[in-house]
Amino acid sequence: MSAMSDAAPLPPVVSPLREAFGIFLRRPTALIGLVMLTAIVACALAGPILLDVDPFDIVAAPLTPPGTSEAWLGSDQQGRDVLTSLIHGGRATLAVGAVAAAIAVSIGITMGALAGYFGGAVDDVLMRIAEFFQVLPALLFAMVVATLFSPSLVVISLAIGVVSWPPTARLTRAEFLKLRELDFVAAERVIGASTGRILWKVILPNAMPPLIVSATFAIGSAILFEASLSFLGLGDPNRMSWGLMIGSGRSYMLTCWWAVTFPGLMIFMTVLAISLIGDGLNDALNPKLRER
Amino acid sequence: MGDAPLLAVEGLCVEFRSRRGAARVLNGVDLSVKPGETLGIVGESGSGKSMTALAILRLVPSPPGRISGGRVLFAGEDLVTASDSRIRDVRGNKISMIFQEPMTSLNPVFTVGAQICETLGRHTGLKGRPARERAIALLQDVGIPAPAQRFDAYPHQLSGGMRQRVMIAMAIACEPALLIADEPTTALDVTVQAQIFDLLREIQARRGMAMILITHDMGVIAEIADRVAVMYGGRVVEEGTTRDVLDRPVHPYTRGLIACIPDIRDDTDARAPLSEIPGLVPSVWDLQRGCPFADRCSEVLPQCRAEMPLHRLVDGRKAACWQRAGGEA
Repeated sequence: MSAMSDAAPLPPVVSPLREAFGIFLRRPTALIGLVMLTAIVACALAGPILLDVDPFDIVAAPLTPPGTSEAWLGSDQQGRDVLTSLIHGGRATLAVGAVAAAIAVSIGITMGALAGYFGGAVDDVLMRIAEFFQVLPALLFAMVVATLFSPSLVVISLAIGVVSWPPTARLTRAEFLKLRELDFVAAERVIGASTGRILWKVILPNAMPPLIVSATFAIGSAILFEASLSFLGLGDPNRMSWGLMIGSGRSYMLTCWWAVTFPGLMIFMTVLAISLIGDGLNDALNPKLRER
Repeated sequence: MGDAPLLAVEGLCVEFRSRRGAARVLNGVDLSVKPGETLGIVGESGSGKSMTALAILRLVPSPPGRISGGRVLFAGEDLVTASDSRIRDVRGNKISMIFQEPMTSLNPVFTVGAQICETLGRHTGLKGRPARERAIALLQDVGIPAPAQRFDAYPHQLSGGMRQRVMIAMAIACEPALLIADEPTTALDVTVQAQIFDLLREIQARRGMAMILITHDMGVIAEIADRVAVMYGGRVVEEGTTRDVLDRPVHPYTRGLIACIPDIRDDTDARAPLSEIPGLVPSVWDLQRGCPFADRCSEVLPQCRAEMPLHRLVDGRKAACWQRAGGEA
């Protein structure tokens, strides 16, 4: 076979990443998710700049229903504009989601990589730590942290990140256990690579596809987590967020449905968009699911 | 041939620990390679050929394995006791190695060019454009057509023979003094095998590089090796020039191995049954005190089961056998 292909004309060189991106773009659901998330992120980033109003300002009579010129989406029980709050609140929610997921994935990858590569006692110790955090009631732990420290966005992101890394660690560990035995890792040792290089530059890139997918879903669950905390009144009270809107409007839910429905819808759409993207990435990056 | 050896392995022992106790997979291996020379190592599966190669570069998987004794002197320096950073400097730079499996020995997520440049960068400090040019020259050297285009190819886009050529390019990138080839063609077609061996021989001649070729193919040894070491049960049982060992084998095991090669030019109609050595390589768990080959040997003496035979000079080469030792000693 080799002699044949040696003489065959050269196929064009396509990078695996570009190939995966092509597959991703061919999924309609993934594309819809990507468009939705892009729109939401663009609103959250550009909205507050274009609409330079404090979301805590009173702009209309309390409980104004949607459709008036002062408040298109209505005002809440304190007369604050729901649309302005939605636009400003997106920033906090998305930021906490992204930062918390980044923290969770960083801790998870580090712990999982060390446990999987070194094995033995290192593995035992790190996995017992992971189990400790897994059996810890996550919401309760985050609530305690948020109550003990002043609930700023940073503290909340840290609290969420610290309780949600074990699944990523387990996934990374499994990948490293599998990959460390492969010949190209041995070949890398033969040409004099250090352990650090083998861990982060040789094995990790090969473990990335499932980790990218898991990181995407981690963002979605971190957003939900932040919303739950804010709903319970444990979020940052000085930063408007979707969870805070639902939390403060929940006692008026029956008379003022618009103050809780719209932020709820935003959370739903954001998490849905992220899930669709995650599924699309999974299809694109997982060679077993690939259909050609 | 009086010059000092480039590599001298002396009494190398490797043990693997497990619940059943320590298993000795190498039991006092002695080898030497002179600059520019090719040493063939032959033996059955499990005789310790590959483990010897790994132990030379201190790549024995540890735990559970460890080098439990002996020295590996490379240009006078003991690699067994060298520091970790020192051994990393030797690997890929002074001593390189190529594996049996070219299909899986390249990192699938990087282009072959990037992988060659990485090796160059680590040991020679060559980066950027000069590294790229050097890598393309190396790909050309190992006979890859359109090397500039292949530079950007991913491993899965190349055939097995091409990938082994890339592995060879990486191995010779830093002009090593010694190349260890561990069954480099086992996974390849017969026609490609010949190409790869021709390439290795040509590169070796051009660069004056020494080579250790591990194989179980006596035909390959006859063609390429200057000297040959026959391994059995974690020891070298016979070592000498290829001509001496293949034409007049001294050790019963070597004679058995050579008798096992079927002759395709043998055109007698009645097909003679294929020759074989009865039995299996002894398990690493029950290495007795005596000669490891005693149970399979047709010329076994009482002494063979009691005492490990020592290496003696027999008929111009070293051999470890009581049967042959009589006349000489």
